[in-house]
Amino acid sequence: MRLHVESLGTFYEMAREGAGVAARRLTRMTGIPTRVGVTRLDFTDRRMLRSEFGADRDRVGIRVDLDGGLPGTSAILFGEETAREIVATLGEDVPLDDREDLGRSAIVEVAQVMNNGFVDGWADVLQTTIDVAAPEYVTDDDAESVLGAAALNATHEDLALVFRNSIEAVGTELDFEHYLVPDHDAMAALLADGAQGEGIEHRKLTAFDRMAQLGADRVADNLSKTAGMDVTVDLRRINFLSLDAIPEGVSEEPHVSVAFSYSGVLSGYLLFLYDEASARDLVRSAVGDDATALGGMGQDAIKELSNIMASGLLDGWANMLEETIDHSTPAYAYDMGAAVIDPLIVGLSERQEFAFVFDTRVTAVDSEFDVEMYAIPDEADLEGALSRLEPDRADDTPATAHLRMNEVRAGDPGDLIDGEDASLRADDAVEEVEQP
Amino acid sequence: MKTFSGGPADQTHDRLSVGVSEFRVVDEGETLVAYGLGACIAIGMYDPSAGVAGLAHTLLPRADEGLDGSEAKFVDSAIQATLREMIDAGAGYGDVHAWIVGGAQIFDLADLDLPADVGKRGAEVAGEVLAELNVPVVDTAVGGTAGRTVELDAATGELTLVTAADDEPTLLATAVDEETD
Repeated sequence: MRLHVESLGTFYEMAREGAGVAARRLTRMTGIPTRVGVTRLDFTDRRMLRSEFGADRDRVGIRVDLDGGLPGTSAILFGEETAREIVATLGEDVPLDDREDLGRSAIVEVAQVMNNGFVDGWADVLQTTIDVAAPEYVTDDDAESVLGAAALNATHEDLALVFRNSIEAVGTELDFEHYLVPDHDAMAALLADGAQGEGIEHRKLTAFDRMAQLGADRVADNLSKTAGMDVTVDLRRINFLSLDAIPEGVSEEPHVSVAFSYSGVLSGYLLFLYDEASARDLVRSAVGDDATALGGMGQDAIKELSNIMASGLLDGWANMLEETIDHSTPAYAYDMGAAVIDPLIVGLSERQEFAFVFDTRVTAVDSEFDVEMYAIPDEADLEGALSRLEPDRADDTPATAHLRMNEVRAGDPGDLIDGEDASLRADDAVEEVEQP
Repeated sequence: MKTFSGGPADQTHDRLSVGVSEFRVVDEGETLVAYGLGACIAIGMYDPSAGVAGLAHTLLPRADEGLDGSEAKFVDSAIQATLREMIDAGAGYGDVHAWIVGGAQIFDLADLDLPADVGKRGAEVAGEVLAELNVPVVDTAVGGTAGRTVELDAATGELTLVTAADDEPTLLATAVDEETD
C-alpha cells in the first residue's frame, strides 16, 4: 500500500464536502444555522481510538455500515444536551432518559439525514456509489458500542486512519462529532488508485509514527537530563489537514510562544505554546521574576527550555532518518495562539495546501508545566524523508542522542556535542530552573 | 488542551466566525469575527444603506502566485467574491466601503525562515484591488508586531480590533467619520 499526499488531499476535500452537505441538511431540518468546523484525517492507533469513547460524555447517535465505493463504518454522535435540543427542536420533547421512546427515533432520523449528507458529499467527490446500510442507534459506552467490534478490529492496529468532522451551530452549542473509519484494505486501494509518483508506503507510515514517538521520548529525556524536569510527553496523533484549518484548532487566548524553523532531511516549523500561567510559574522558578510581564530573563528561560525540547524532538527524528536536521534560534512572541501559528501557515502555504501536524502535549509530573507542541514539516521533504524510513529502525536507534544546542544567551549556535556534554551545557543554560 | 476538533468556544447567537481562507456575508445584524490574525489579511466591507457586511480572512496576496485553493485564500479573489456576494445580498455597488487589517510580523524574521513581506504585500494588493473596484478604504490597521482579532458588526457598521496586549476594543474609522472629517 502506498499513500500519496495528493490522494490524501482528495480525501480531505471529500470529507469537508460531506460535512458541508450534512451541515446544510441539519439546518434545513432543524432550523439551526450551522457552519462546517475543522475537518481532519488522523493517523492514530487502535489504543488511542479506543480511548476516545465511553468517557462519561453520554453521547448518543447512529452507526452505519458502508459498502461499495467506500467500505467502512460511519458514526454520528451527539452530546446529550445537543441530542435533547434536537429532539425539542423537532417538536418531540421527550426526555432522553427514556431512550426507547420517540426521542430515539428523532435522533436516528436527524443523524441519518446528516449521515446521508456526508455520504452524498463523499460519493460526489469520489464519483462513485456508496451503499449505506440501515442505521443502528448507539450509545457511547465504549469504542465497540459506537463503531462495532468488527469495524474496530478491522482497523490497522498501529495506524488506524480516521476521518473526523465537526459542525458548529450558530446561536447554540452543538456537541457533535462524526467519525469515518474506512476499511483498511479498501482505503489502501483507494489511496493508491490513480495517484501519481512514488508515494509513501503504508509500512513506512508506521515507521513515521514510531519516528514521531521517538522524538517525543527524546523531548522527555532531554528535559529530564538537562532541566531536571520529570515530564509526560503525549504524542496524541498525527493529523493530516488543510493548512487553513490549523489556526482554528489553536486557542485564541494569549500564549507565550516560541517558534523554530528547521532544515535538513526534513524542513518546516516547530511551535511551542505555553499556557500563560505555567510559563509564569516556570519563569518564577527559573529566575525568580514575579513581575506581571515576562521580562528578558524570563523570555530567555522559556526560549532555552523550548530549545531543549526542539533539540530532543528533531534529534529523535534525525536519528531515525540517519540524517541531520538543524534548527534555528528560538523566536519568542506573546500573542493569541491563532496569531502565532498564522505566520508559519503563511510560510508553508506558498508551497503546499495540506500539512501533517504532530500534535503533542508535554506536562510535568509534579508541577503546573503544560505546553503544546506543533511540528509541521514541509510536505515535499516529508515524502522524501519517509521513503528513507525502515519500520524496524526505531528498535535499533542508539539511546544516546547528539544534542544540537543553539545557545540562547551566549555562545556559538549549532555546536554539536555529545549527550553527556550537552547535559552540562544545557544545565548551565537553565541553571536557575528549580530542581525537583 | 484543545485539539483540532473545534472552533471558537465563545460563539454567541449572532457572532459568526470567519476562518482562514473563508469569507462571509450577512445582512441581519450579525457580527462577523476573524480570530487571531497574524500575517493574514482581513478585508471588511460594509454597505450602511443596505446593512450588508462582508468579511474575508485571507492567507496570500494573489491567486496567481500561490497554489490552488479556494478563492477566499487570496486577497484579490476574496475581495471580488465577497463584494459579489454582498451585491447579491442587496448591497449597492458604489455604496460599499472597506477596511484592511492584519499583516503583522509576529516573530522576528531574522530568527525564522519565513517569507519576508507576505503581510505587507497582502495589504498592498488589498488596497490596489479595492481601488480598481472603486471601493473606498475608510481605515486600515496593518503591520506592527501584534496579532489582531477583528469584529465587524453588521448592525452598526463598526469594525473593532482586539489584541493580546489590550482587551479594550479599538474602533476603526467608519465612513461616517470620514464624511465628518
